[in-house]
Amino acid sequence: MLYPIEWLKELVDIKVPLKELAEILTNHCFEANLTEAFGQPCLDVEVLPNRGDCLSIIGLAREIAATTKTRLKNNKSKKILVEGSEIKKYISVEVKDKKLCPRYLASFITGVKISPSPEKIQKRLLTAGIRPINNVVDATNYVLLERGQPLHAFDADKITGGKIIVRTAAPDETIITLDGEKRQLTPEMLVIADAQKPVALAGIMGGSQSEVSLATKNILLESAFFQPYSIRKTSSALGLRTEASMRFEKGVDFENVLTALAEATFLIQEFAGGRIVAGLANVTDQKDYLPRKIRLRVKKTAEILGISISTPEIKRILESLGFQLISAKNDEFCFLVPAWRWGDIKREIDLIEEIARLYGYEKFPETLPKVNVPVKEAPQTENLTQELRNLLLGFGFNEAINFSLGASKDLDLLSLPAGHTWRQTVVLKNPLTEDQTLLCPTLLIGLLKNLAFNQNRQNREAALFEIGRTFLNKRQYEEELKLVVGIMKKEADFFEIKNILENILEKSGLKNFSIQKAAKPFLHPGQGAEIFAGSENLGFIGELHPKVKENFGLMNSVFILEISLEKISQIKTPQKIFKPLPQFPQVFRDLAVVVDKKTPYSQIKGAIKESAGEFLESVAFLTYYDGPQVPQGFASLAFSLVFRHPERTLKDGEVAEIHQKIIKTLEQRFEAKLR
Amino acid sequence: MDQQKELKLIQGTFSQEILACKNLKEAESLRIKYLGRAGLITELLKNIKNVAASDRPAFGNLVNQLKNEIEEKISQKIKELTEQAQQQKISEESIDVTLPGRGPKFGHSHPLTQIFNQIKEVFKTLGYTIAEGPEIETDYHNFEALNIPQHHPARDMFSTFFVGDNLVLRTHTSPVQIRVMEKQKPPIKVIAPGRVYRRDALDLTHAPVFHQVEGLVVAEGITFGDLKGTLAYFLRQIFGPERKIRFRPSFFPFTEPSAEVDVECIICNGQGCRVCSGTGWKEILGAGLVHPNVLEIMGLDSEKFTGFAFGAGIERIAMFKYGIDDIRLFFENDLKFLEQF
Repeated sequence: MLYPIEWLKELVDIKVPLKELAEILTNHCFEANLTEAFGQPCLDVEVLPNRGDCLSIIGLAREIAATTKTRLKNNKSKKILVEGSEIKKYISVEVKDKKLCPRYLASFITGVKISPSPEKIQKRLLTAGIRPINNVVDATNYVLLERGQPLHAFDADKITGGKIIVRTAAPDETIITLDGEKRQLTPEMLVIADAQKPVALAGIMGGSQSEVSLATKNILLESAFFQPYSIRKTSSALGLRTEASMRFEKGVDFENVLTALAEATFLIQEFAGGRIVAGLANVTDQKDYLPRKIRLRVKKTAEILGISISTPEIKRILESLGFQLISAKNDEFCFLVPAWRWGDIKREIDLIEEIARLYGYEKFPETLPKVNVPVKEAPQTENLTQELRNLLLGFGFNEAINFSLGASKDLDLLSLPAGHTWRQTVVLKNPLTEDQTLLCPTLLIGLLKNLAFNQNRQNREAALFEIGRTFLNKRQYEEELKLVVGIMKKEADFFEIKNILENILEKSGLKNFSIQKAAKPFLHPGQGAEIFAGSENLGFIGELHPKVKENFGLMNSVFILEISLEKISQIKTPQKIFKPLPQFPQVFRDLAVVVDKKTPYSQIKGAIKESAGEFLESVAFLTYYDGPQVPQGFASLAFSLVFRHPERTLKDGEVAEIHQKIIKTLEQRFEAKLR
Repeated sequence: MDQQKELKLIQGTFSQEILACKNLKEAESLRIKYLGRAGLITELLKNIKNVAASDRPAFGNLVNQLKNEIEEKISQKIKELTEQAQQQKISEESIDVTLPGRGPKFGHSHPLTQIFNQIKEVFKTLGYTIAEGPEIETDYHNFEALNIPQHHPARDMFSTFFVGDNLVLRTHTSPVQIRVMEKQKPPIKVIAPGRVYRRDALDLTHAPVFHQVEGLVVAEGITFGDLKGTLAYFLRQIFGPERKIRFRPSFFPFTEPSAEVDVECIICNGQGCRVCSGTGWKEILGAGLVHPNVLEIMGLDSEKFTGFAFGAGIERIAMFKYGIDDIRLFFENDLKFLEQF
C-alpha cells in the first residue's frame, strides 16, 4: 500500500529523514521503500497479513510514532455526532444476527448535493488505487484510507420502508452489486437489507440499486463491525475482494466504528452540504469484543528471547504502541490491548514479539541451541540416492530436474492403452494451465521432453537421469521415489544402458536380480525388459518404441530405464564379509557353442554352472556371433571358464572331465554344437 | 702352429664381422657361427686333441681367452643394439601432448541438487537429521495444524492446488514439522528438504513446482537468539563469511515472533541493482519461534518447550548465488545450462 508522506505528516511527527524512516520501518515493522506517486513522495509498504490495523494512514502513523519515538498529532478537532432521536424518524435498524454483526451504527444526512470531491481528496484516493466517484462516496473512501474503517453510503430514498435489517440471506436470494454483477446468495452470507430485499453485501460491496448517484438527495451512512470469518468466507465464495472486505476479514477497530462514523458524516457535510440529522442508530453487542487483558512475564520474555530487556524499557515499548498498563506486580505486567490490535494480539507471545521488534532484532545475540539430540538415521532412500547419483555422474550422465505436473496427452505420447496402470493418475481439481492437470506417474515424460528439448537446441546427443517422485491414484494416493535414465545417441545399443543398470544394481547391494524380456507399450518389442529382484518388479529397461520416439520428435536412438528406488531401498542387503583369497592357481578354458538364437544366454550360463559343479569358479561372457559363419537362426556363444580347487592344484585331467560334462549337458539340453 | 694361425684368422674375421654387425639377427647369427654347437670356436675346442700334448694347455688357454673375448663382444653388441632399438622406438613414439584427451567426461549434478547438498552438509555439522514428508498433503497438515484455519486471511499467502477431499499439493515444506512432531517427542532437530507446489503462473521468477528446505528445533530453553545464531551461521556458510545479514520483523501464522532474513546482494555488494530491486538486500529465509498454538495442537506443553523453525527457497538461493535470472532454466535441463555447474 502507498502512504503519501504529506498525509502521514498530518497525523504524526516525522523527525527523521525519509530514507532513514523507510529503513527504520523495515527493521522494526514492515518492509518499506521510499517512492513517488503523482509527483508526491510516498512510502510503499508491504503490510503483513496479520496487521489489518496498518491498512490505514493512522495505522502506519502509529507505527512511525512508536519506532521513531515521536508522537501522534492531536490536531484534528474531535467531532461527535449529536445525541438525539430525530434519526428514528428517518431510519430504523434491526440486527438479526448479532454474532455476524456485533456492531451496526448509522447516521443520516439530508439535502446533499452530489458533485466531484476536492482535488486533494481525489489525488489521495488515486494514490491508493481507489477511483474517485463523487463527493459522498469519496468521503467514505477517504475515511477508510485514513482511519481503516470501511463505511457505506446509501441513497436513503432507495431504502424501502425506512428499515435496515442486518440478516443472513434467504435461500435463492440475489443482489446486483455496484459492479453490475448479479450475485447468487446462500444462507451463510450476511446482507444489509431493507424491508423488501438485500441492498448490500455486508462488509463487501453495496448494491447498485441503492448506490449514491447524481440524483441522490439523502444519505444513510453505515459504519459497522462484521465478524471476520463470515466476511472472508463470503468473499471467497463469491470471488469478490474489496478494500472493505480486506479490512473486515482481519477485524476492524471496534471502538473506531463510532469515531469514523462521526468523521465521515462531517466530511460528507463538508463536501456535499446538507444537514446532519440528530442522533445515530446504534445496535451494539460488545460481549465478544471486550478489550483484551494480557499478562506479560518479564522473566519469560527474557527466556524466550535469549536477552534481558529492562522492565522500564518493556513498559515504554508497549505503551508507545498503545498498550495500556493495568497492573504491575513483581515479574508480571498486565496490559490492555488497544481496540485496533484486537485482530492480532491474542496472547503473551504476541506481546513478546512486539517487544522484540521494537527493541530491534539486530540487538539480539547470535547463539546456537544447546540441544543434545540423539542422531537419527536419514530416510532409507537418502544414502541410496546419493550413491546412485554419484555413480551416474561418474559414467558421464547429467542430472535433470522436471516438474512433476503433466497432462493426459503426455500419457498418449507414451502410447499407453486406455486401461494402463499409469492412467490412474492423481488429478488436480484446480489446474492453472491445460498442460499441467495431473501428477506424472512416471519420470519418463519429463526425461523424454528434456531429450527433445536438447535435440532441438543442437545438443544432438545427451545422457540424462532424474531422481524424483511419481504419483498414482489407485485405491489411495501413492508416491514412489524413482530413478529414470536416458541415453540419446546417434549410435547406441541396449547393452550400453544395460551396463549402467548392472552397475546401479550392484552398487545398491543387490546380488540376485534378473532381466526378463517384456513387452511394454513404450518400449521396442524386441528390445525391452523388466527388472526383477526375486519376485519384486523393480522397473524396466529398453530401447524406446519407434512410435513413441516419433511422438516426442526424437531422431537419434534412445535407450531408457526406470527403477523404483523406494523398492530397492527396502531390500535387505547382506553385510560385506571378507572372503579369503584363493591359494591355488586357476585353470582357464574357453568354450564356444552354436545354439538356436532363441535360447537365452542366461539359460546356457545357468546350465554351464549347474553341470560344472563346485570347481567352476566363474564363467564369463566372451563373444556373441551370428554372422555368415554360423547357420541362419543360430548363434555362437563363447564363454571364458575359470576352474579352481580351494585346497590343491587341479589336474588337467580333472578339468578336462568337467569340461566334457559341461559340453554333454549343453548338447543334451539345447542341442548345442561345439564350435 | 697351424692352430695358432687359425686362431688369429678367426679373431681377425670376427673383429671385422662384429663391427659390421647391424642388428640383433646378425648378432645372433654371429654367436651361432662362433659359439654355437657347430661354431668355429666350439670346433676348435673339439679339435684340441689334434694339438701336441705339451702345447695343449697353452693352446687351450688361448682358445678360451678368444672364446671369452668373443662372448663378451657379442654380449656387448647385443646390449648396444638393444639399447639403440629402444631409443629408436622411443623417438618414434613421440606425440603432440597438446591434443585433447579421449574418453567419457564426468556428469554434472543439477544446480538445485548442489545447493541442497551444501545446505544438508551445513546442518549435518550442526547435528540435524533429515526428515521427509509426502508431497500430497492433508489440509490439516498443510494449514490447520500450522495455525492457519479454514477461511483465514493467511491462506492468501499460499496459492494452492487441490487434489481431493481435503487434500492439497503441499504449498511449503512446513507440514513436515507437524509430521515430525507427531512421531517424535522433543528434543527435535531436523531439516526437511523437498518439493512444493503453488498455483502460480510460470514466469521468470515463479514456477508452479519448486523446492524448499525446512528446519525445526524444539526443546527446552530454545531462544530467539538461538534462531538468529543458527541462521547467521547457515547463511555465512552458503554465501561467505563477509556477507552482511539483516533480520527484520515479518509474519507467518505458525511462528511468533517471526522474521525474514536478508542477505546483502552479492551482485552489487549492497549498493542496489536490478537483482535486488535497488534495495541492496535479497530475502532468503523466513523464520521464527514456533507459535505456541502449534506446539499446543501437537500436544506439547508450550510453557516447557520452545522451538524455532525456518524455511528457504532453493531456487531462490541458487538464482541468487549463481546469478541465474530465469527460474525456467532449472526445469528445461538444457545441457548448456547443466554443464555450467
